Amino acid sequence: MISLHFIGLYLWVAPHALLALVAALMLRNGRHREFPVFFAYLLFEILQFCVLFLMLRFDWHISSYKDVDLLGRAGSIAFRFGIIQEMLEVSVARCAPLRQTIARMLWCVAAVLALLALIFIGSVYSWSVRGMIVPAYAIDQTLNILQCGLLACVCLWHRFLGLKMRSFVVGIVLGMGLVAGLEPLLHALKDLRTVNPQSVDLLRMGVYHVSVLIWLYFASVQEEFASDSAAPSFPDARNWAVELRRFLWS
Amino acid sequence: MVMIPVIALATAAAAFLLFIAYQVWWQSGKATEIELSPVDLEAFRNLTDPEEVRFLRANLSAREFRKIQRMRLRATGAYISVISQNAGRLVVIGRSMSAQADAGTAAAGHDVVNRAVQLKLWCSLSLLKLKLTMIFPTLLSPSSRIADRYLDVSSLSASLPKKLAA
Repeated sequence: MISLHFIGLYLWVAPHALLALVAALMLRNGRHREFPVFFAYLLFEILQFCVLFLMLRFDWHISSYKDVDLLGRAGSIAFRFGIIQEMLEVSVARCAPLRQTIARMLWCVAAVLALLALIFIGSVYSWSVRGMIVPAYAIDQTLNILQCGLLACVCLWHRFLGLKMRSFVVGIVLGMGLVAGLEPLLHALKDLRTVNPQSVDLLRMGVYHVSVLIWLYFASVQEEFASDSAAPSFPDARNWAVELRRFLWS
Repeated sequence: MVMIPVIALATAAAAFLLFIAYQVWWQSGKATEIELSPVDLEAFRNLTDPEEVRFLRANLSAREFRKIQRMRLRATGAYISVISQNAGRLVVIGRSMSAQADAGTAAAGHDVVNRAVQLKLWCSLSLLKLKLTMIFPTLLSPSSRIADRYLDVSSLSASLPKKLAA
């Protein structure tokens, strides 16, 4: 039991300590300017952890703890939607009209995906509606599935444009995808009591830890954008443009 | 019965994670071509010219017109696909330019990226519309505005060497 307690404590504290490291690396590489929403999300997660940790340490009332936890979860979800938009916009960052177009497209896709996710969750739990401990968590699950759909859209958007995703964007997608993809399953395992709830909690924290490690790895990797083998080099691009002009005006 | 939600969600999670892993793998192994495919814009304009369509409609029987128009639409689709591919390559070149230290070149690169992305979106919508037009060739006709947009973004890209030389 003691070892389980320590594992739990480690899985709670370590990812947040590593998040601070990710934030520090982003500051050092200047990526906080390119990905301000993700950077703000990291700070928010760290702050949320600090508040919850102190509340638990000083035996705060459990209902207040739950309120803060719920507020934190809501904030994290909101931030993750912002991060997805940021990843979609990163290739057209300087064009306001195009950003507006992307935002509109994102809202339309999100609305359709939300409806599909709600139907999916509804149909999945229709077999065992009573199994859900807190029915309100259906919203949380729907939002997680919605985020999975939107993360898939980020990949497809880059594929559509024929662009290689920035290595840091790959890291964010992988990390967020791991958490958002497994969260509904872990919820179901806990709700339906098919596995010991404590084990599910440890598994959830473990998944988050892995995703933070992924972010840490990609934050420490030098951005491949400048040396991207797929992108044309400066002379290539120049020759290419000359060639283009030749056959356009010939 | 209790296991059904778990199995459904486990399947969905596995499918999603495999999809993401495949996309990342595809991205890492992909080498973008930097060769542009030539586009005969005059021929493209001719294929999408409403006057041409009116002329064909007036001089051919309805059956012949549908047959000929479908052939023209297939050719138009091929042109739009090539323009779309070129737009993708212009995005790559614009992105490469936007990473340059020189502010003017970087700004021009951003402009190329943004216009090329718009062109690519426009091409996708046009290809969708073209598929509809194939079903109803007598009711709908393709737009030639893509040619103007392509010329717009291409000439912007072609002006880059001057900026680079400056």
